[in-house]
Amino acid sequence: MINQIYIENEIKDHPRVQSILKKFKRKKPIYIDKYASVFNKKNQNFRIQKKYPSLILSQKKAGYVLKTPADFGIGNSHNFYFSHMYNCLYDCEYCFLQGMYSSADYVLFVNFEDFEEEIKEKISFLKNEKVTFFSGYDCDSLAFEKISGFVKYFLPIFKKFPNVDIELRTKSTQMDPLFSMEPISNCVVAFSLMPTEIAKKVDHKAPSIEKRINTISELASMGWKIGLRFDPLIHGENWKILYSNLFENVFKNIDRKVIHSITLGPLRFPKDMFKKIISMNPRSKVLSDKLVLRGNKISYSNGIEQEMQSFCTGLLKDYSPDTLFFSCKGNF
Amino acid sequence: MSNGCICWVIALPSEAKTLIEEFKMFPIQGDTLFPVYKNKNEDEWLIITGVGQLNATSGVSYLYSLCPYARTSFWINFGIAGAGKKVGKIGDIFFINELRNYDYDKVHYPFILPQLKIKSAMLRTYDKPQNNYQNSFLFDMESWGFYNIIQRKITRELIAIIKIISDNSIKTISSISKDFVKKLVKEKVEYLVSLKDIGYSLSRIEMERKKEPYLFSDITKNIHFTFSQREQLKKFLIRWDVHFPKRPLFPEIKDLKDAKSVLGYLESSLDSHILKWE
Ligand code: SF4
Repeated sequence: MINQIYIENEIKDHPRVQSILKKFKRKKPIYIDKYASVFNKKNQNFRIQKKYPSLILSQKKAGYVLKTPADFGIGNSHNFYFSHMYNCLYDCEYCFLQGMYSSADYVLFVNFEDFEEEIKEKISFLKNEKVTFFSGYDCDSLAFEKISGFVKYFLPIFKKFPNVDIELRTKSTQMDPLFSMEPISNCVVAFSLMPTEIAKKVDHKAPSIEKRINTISELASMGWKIGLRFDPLIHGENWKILYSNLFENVFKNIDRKVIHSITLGPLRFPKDMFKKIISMNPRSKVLSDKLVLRGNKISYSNGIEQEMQSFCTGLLKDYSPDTLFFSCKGNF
Repeated sequence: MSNGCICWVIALPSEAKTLIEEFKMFPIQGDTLFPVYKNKNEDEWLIITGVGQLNATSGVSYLYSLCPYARTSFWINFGIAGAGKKVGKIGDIFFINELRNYDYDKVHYPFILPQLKIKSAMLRTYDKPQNNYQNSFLFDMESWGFYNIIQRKITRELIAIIKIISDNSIKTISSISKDFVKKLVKEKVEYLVSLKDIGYSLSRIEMERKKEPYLFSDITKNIHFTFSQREQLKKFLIRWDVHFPKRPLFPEIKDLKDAKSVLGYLESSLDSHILKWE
């Protein structure tokens, strides 16, 4: 549900803006000069806005494609991410976007063509190198597809560069563009997963784990490559049993041959970001758990983190070969 | 106070009169810089600031210092405004979704309230009365001053500007009288009541977020905590509330004599707790 639509004056006639507006016929947009004049204001309550988010249609002016943080990758030597959107339809309690932005409004950058150009530049500059582009770093890649048409636009572009991988990171089960396309061999549809019992409590508004697994299974049977992202790993009573059940459930339903990569990531936040997130949501169970300051990050203690990582990796190795495992910690 | 709180900022007595009566507010006792009213529950406050941005700004600061719930209240600037002929009819009520000042380029975009049942429009604040009715916006003499000061103090979602068109042509300006203004307001009271419901619900969310943790005052009254220990105590008490909602803390710490032992006890209890997900 969109509370209000804002449109930057410069793009008010952009065809993508016009087609999005057709989907919100009853909304009267407000025209603004810069998205930042709504989005970047100080003194905003992310939690209230999350209940009543607005959509801001904007155009990105620079920095279309950025290098990923160190230690973030799925096997290729060059890793980039690009964000056509800030913020997400879902409301996961541990989501770092709450600390990254002061507003929960959705900013959608409609100038896809500029992203495309920079992606192509990077590809041609790194010709013959192994490159992965990640989408879904500042949003969910597919959750907003019906409005944005993002995947529908970008997948045909990546199809032309079979040596370059594109990862779509998602929790969505709305897979329309993928279900109606032939699988693209260099596209990895990567799903974030955690035990059902935990997801029910922390992945607000996101599709249930059962639904995600069903969707993965359908995509897999079509031949799409699948990424499994057990990130963040969340601690609690019986966590070993919960994660064992999750892995069993996943591998019972998915053909292992289509699994492209598996990553595990600890629950972690940059210190200042965590301060902001907890101040907005002081009564979150997962954020009130025994998290400690380690260097510049807030996370479980080293002991818990290591134990979870090695236990889960150990279990997963019974299902999948070592070569599929990657670290996606994204160290900051 | 967990019901939320509303603070009205209004320029003229004739704009405020109906609200004071309808919402059963009475003047607060003693010498005050501006006329200030509140209801019996002290969860609704109203200040009459006088005309102009400077008065609006001082009025906001004054009410902010008086109302104990000011930083989590829902603040409404309400009153009459002129409007371009095409914007609406006399008596139409508007939510201001874009706010500009006459002499420079800055702009504020107030948070759009959910379930808004009235029209929205842009408003420009001037320092002198205006009689140009060709424009496509509303105009007044206070809103910019009001918004500009309150948005520095509280979160944007708790601020609203609501205006009723009082004049939209040179001819109509002469009919503005105290009684006329009261009549305009009276006709929209029903809407203002529903606006209060939204305001209270948003204010409650902010109050809940900022509320002092349970037992914080009791503990710090009896035991000395340094500034950083107080901050740590707040964090632990919130965590206690989250993880042990049914476990009374007081009996467990009543014999502890100093800050260090209280904090140590809380920390070890919290750290040994394991979250239950099932
Ligand atoms: S799906 Fe991802 S981006 Fe969306 S709220 Fe959850 S963690 Fe954040």
